[in-house]
Amino acid sequence: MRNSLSSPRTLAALGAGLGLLIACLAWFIPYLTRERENVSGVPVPPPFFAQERVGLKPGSEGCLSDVAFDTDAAIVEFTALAGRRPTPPLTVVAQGPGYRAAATVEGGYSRPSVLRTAIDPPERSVLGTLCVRNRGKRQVVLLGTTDPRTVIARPITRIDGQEVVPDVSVRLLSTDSGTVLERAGEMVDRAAAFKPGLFGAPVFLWLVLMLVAIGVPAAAVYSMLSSFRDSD
Amino acid sequence: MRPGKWARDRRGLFCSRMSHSGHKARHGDTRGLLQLWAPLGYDGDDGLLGRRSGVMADALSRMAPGAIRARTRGRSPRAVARGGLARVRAAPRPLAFLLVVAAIQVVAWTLVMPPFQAPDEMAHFAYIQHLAETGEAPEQTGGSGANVSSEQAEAIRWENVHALVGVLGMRPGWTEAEERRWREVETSLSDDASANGDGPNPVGQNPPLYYALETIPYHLAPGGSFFNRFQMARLGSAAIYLAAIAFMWLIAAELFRPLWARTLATAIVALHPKLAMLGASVNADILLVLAWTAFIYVGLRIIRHGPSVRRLAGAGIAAAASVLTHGRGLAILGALLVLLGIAYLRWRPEPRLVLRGAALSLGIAGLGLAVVFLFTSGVSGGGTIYGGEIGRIGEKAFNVRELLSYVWQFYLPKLQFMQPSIGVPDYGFREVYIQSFYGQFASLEVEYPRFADDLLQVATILLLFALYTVAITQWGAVKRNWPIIAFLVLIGLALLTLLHVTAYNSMLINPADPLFTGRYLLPLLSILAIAVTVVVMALPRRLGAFATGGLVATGIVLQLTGLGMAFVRFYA
Repeated sequence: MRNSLSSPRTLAALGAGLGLLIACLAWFIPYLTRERENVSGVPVPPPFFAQERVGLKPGSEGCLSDVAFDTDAAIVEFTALAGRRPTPPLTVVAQGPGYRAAATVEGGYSRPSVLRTAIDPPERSVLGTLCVRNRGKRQVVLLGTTDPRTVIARPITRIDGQEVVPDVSVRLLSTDSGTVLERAGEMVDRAAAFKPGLFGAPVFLWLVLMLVAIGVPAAAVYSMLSSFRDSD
Repeated sequence: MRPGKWARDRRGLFCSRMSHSGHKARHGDTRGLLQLWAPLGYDGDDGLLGRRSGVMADALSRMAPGAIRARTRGRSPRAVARGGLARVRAAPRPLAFLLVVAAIQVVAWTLVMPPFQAPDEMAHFAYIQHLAETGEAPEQTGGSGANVSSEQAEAIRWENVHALVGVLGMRPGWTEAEERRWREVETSLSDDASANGDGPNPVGQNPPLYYALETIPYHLAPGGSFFNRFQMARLGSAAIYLAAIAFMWLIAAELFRPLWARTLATAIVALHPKLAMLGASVNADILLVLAWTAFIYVGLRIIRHGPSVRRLAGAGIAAAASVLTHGRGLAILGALLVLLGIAYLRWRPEPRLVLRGAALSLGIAGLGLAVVFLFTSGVSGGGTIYGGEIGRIGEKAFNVRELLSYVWQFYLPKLQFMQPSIGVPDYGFREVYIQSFYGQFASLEVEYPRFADDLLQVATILLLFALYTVAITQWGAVKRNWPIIAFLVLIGLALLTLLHVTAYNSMLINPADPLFTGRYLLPLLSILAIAVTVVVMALPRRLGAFATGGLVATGIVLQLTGLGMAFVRFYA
């Protein structure tokens, strides 16, 4: 009995088991059960290299074209950099085929500040435009970017119908935040998008995820243990 | 020429030299380095003209305890099929399981990483597509201005993955509306839309081997949709990755007698997270890893069993594959010279045979180089062979003292009399050998937490100290096995020298771009695996077994963490 407990195979199993247990307790479980923001879509990301100011004069409207609104896009987030006090009120309008949602941002917010306003998400995902109108009497400056990869990406920023080079950085958020474990199904569905054939079937992705989570550790540890058995 | 003579002449000496240690290996314990240095038992079959079975099958079958000996006895299709089945059955169980692990991982990486998020993947795929569609490589500096085809540009546009590259705050397109629109756009594209990405393409001067191989899965893609072809190209890389792992097993089988040691060495490669990610990427670097791993295997065969026509040709082919894959692959020519030199000193053949052997392997490698010259002579880019980092050599005169100072400060703290190093401050050992060697996935933005990098750095430094200790305490074994050790150390230095010289040259032109990242070291991953296994074998038996389990668990944790972080980064 004592011999079998101190055999190389048992000790190797112990080493692997202990390593995996420590990783699960100290790393995997906290990581997977941490509450996270649920990003529904990012038409234009925040600047990576090149931050740019996009000014909206009183009465002006800045619009992003070809924005994808998913069925959980319930919050529009953008950043006001500066503006004369008192900061002006803004109207946000999301619209696409068969879809229109509007929201307002009251004036008087601090500068700079991340502004969030709630909109009604569409019943089915649509491609449309997202506009911000300055309803106040003073200019507001929004955070934009001229990062080369961003400015040639799909959404185009227009101010009062005129195309401008910097794009306004905008995120769409869902109200259903949660942990990775709670949102695993949604994340799998997202990962399946644009994948071809079998690779785009959520059930296939689930299978691969299960194999990664269980099959990889099991097969790797078995491989090592079987090598000790064969060596014995 | 009688190709077998050399090896046959030397076989007696070889066998008698080895029989002593071989005896120890059979009857001694399995703890120490003696086991490592003990050969596997020369079977008298030196792979010459009379031998029928393949090198791989033979090696696999010899390495598998109790496994069926896989030898093809005939040449009829049925016999070949039977032989193939026997070879598969002859694969040792640990290797089979490690290959399954690697296959799952690499498929998972292809699914978790959105298109074009691996390093330079847009340019590499554009090269494959243009070659597959037109039979020509895209131009590096010329072309019509289309660095990718219209089809690829539209796919990038509708999945919204251009701004995604390297930007953590960005997400890919995943809505049904975007997919719908992409399908409409794809069906409306003309046939020419796949073939008009003629350049400029920043990888346009890369040699064509990887891209030519990738045209096979590209054309095999069922249905013909763009993302199908892209996924198939990634799976083409995955097949190369799996082949590299199989070669790692063969290397381990050359060096280590205990099955667990071979399994550990192979597991280190199979569970390496950055290599798995690279295997799931459209990037020529993965073929470089395979070429170098195969070269190291053949080199060890030559050093341990003597040069034969097949082995020398194998070394030449691996070297040719390396130079035909990437500019960084040129370092293998130095490694080939090192191999031939060590083989000469080890086996002392007649001068006539030396010349023939050298001509064979160097001739094949030179042929590869000639193909590259022919290929690049028809490509734009100022007439330089190879693009990117290698193409910049000689553009600016370099200062040897400055180069040495840069290399010193890359690894060690600056000495008082030194000028500050050229290039990015504080970019050195940790950033390359730790952070971007084990981690920094996708386009370098998915990183392990700092504590994980700290632990990996401590482990790497401990490994170096442990190797030094093993070398001192087992000095006799080191002396006996100097050809193997010299071969592994010198080929490592060959690649590192090229990487440092090219990085230095690049920084003379653009100091902000160090042009040296961890994945450039992956062709030497098998040497790291050997080093770790040597240290574990030198530990007391029980501690060694425990450490083996811990190392495998570490590999699993790093792999799952990398995949998990990438999944969250892109889809949360």
